[in-house]
Amino acid sequence: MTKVTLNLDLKKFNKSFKEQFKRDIPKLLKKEILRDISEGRSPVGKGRRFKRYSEVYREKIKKSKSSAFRNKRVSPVNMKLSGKMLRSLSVRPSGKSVLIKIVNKLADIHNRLGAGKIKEVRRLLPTRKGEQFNSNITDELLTAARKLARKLARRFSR
Amino acid sequence: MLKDVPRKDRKKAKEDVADYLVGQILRNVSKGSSPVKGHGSFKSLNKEYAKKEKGGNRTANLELEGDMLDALDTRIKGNRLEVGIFAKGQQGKADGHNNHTGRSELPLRRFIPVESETFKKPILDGMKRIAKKYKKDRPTPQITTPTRRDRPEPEEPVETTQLTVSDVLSQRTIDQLLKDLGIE
Repeated sequence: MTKVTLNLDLKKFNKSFKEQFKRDIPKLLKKEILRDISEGRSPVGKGRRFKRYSEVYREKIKKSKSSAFRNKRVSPVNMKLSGKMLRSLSVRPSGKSVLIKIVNKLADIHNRLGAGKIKEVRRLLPTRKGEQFNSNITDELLTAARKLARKLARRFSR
Repeated sequence: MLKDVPRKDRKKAKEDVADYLVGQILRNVSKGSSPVKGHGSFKSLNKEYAKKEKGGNRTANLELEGDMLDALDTRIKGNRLEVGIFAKGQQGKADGHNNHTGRSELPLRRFIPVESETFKKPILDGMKRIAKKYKKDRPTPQITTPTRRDRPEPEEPVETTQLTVSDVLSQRTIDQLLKDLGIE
């Protein structure tokens, strides 16, 4: 399993904000993680495009007549074949945190060990110490928090 | 954009802004849309071409083998940020879409602005937000609170780590959010 915990230090915020934020953030985060991966970019750190597939695998994708490869393209590197790994991405509130995990062995291969002969690592989750989600994802979270605060502030001011 | 960013943080701020910009360009291009102000959605792909090369998907995401978009990069020169396709082997392709030279006969699908152009407002605003995080109000360690202070820390398996909301919300933003909610 590949997992990371996002701590939400929401002590200073009132109950309404906390509850709504904890409801909204997992959905948003899951959407953004899957969006970046499906478009061939890492959700982690610099958020750059995943390194291209190996030449051998690219040839396999182009030439294979197997139904498994019917919709597969050499680019973007979207980490998807059957879709099983990405379907196992789970993002849910867990106490004061949000727990993000991919319960699939392949995720650990891609995220940590490296895939294929050359052990190419393609980061899916920020599981190393000091790592963060990429700046596009963190900016989306920030924007969502601001929108929520404004919405709740308007409600309270009526 | 970097005014009031402490000198020691400027390099990191510039890198973060650069990474954000590349991400935004790629996000827009992925859905067949130009990130450049004054340009809208890219013209759809020709039906026959889409059927032959893209499984029928007519969204012009400028991606076939991926080499050109893989070469999208940034260069930081002092206080200037340059973004473009710098790999010589991909520049012809990039100009085919962007037509900076005026010589391309392909449908215009601009993802890098010419000198007189700029990026769309949401992208510029996002870049300012990223830079703003580094201004004097950087997150302070006091915001970071471990969730299990009372219990001895279990040995963390290597694949687990922790992020805190202070990584995404600066002190100033938290203060503003509290003010908006009437909490001081």
